[in-house]
Amino acid sequence: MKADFEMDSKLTPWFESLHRFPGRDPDLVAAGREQYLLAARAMAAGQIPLRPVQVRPMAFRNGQRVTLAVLLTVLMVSFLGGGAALAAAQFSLPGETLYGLKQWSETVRMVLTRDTEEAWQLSLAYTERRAGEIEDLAQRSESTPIAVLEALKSEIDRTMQLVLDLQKPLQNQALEQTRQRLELHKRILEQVAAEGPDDNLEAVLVLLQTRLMWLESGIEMPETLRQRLQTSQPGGQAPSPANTLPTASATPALSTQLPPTATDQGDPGSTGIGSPQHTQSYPSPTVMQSTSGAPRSTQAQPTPGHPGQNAPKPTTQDGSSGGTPR
Amino acid sequence: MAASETQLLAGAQCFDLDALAEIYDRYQAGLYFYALRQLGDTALAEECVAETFLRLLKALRAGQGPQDYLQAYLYRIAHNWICDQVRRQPPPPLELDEQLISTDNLDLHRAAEQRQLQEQMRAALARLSPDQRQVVMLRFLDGWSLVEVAAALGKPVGAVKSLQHRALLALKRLLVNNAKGNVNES
Repeated sequence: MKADFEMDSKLTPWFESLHRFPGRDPDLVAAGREQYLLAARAMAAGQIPLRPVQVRPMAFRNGQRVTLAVLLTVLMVSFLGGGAALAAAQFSLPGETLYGLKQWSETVRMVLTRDTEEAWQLSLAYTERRAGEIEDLAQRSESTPIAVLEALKSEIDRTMQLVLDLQKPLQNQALEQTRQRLELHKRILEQVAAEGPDDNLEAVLVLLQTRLMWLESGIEMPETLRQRLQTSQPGGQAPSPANTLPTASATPALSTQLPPTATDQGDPGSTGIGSPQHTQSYPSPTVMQSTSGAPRSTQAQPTPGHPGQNAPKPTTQDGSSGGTPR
Repeated sequence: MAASETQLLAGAQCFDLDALAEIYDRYQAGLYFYALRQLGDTALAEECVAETFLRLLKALRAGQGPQDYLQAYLYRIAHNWICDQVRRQPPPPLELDEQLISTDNLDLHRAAEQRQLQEQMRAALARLSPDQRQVVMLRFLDGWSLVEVAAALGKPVGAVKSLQHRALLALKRLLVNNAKGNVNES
């Protein structure tokens, strides 16, 4: 103890009592370090910095919002430069004006990717994006839109289908890597869910738990995993790895598993997220399905940008929220 | 030569895994005991460490996080997490006249006495304001300088001195004077 000259010596026994603790379990230290580095690796490899640019949805009626979103997107692409708009869109969240552009760019990139391994890596990155969006919405105390949950489910299933299309032993490595990433997001979302109840978030956790079980058994029995994927799809069809897009409409089954949201019950004060109208407001990327069967390009870049490359300079020393320093 | 905090921070902002690992290795133990002293629960202290570093990663990923004073930033995250825990589950009320466990074994007797002092200290700390608590913990238990504590709290040194003075007076009233009162009553 140093610099305690100003402390009354009568307090010393109490202060000294807090210096006497048993040693720390080295296994727990090692496990904690491993978990932290796993999270760091996953964020470095698969995540893009979040929300340096935010365009909040305005309180327009649904039709107006769709029109405005399209108009703004066209204007930005036309006059401000398509690259800038696309870059800005990568940081958007569901419900924001540029989110549709983000979905569209993801679709284009996936369609242009020919190599199966690259497609798997890209799909895994998109899965992590969807999970990251849910984490960010939850930290903003916004309910998770059902459309995003369904998109997450579709993307996970597409990732797994792409893994199954890989050759062994790469297939096993990819299954394990996918499992590790999902496990990480499950842990993060469990912590987020502990801070505030959200029925839809609970549904995401159930979904992740189920898919983790599938992946674990899939390492030993890939055919079982393939059958599970086929039966989980509407009509019993496996998701097409190349061009099936993770849209809400592709996975109606999940909606029936999820609890109703405020919007489903006609809450007039809601944001419209998760409602059929809201789904309409996102330009659906399914238009790109017309290119089905196109060969994959090996020039595609499957991994999204490195977090450090695009991160803006922090504006404050501790300019974070939700538990970060106030 | 060990990397400076500024170098580590620059590496962390680029998600350099070596820098991130070095940050963990350098600060995890201090954060663990910082949490353990206040919470008295090893599992919660481990959770605090994990949560602190996870929040650091998420802040870095979001392009936020510290620009300097990395250690102070980490302790602020931990402090906020601990405050939330204390709010959810406050320590037991201050009981200074509780009988020590009667035993002929001197080691056990001393251990019980230490445990009681720890519990009293934690209960007293929980009655301080969050800022006062953080000043006391960092100054007198982790040995930080006034300047370092000021950086951790984001306050001027003068304000930290004032917080420290009031915190020590409150602790003396809660622990020393209260103990005297109990002795006199008995």
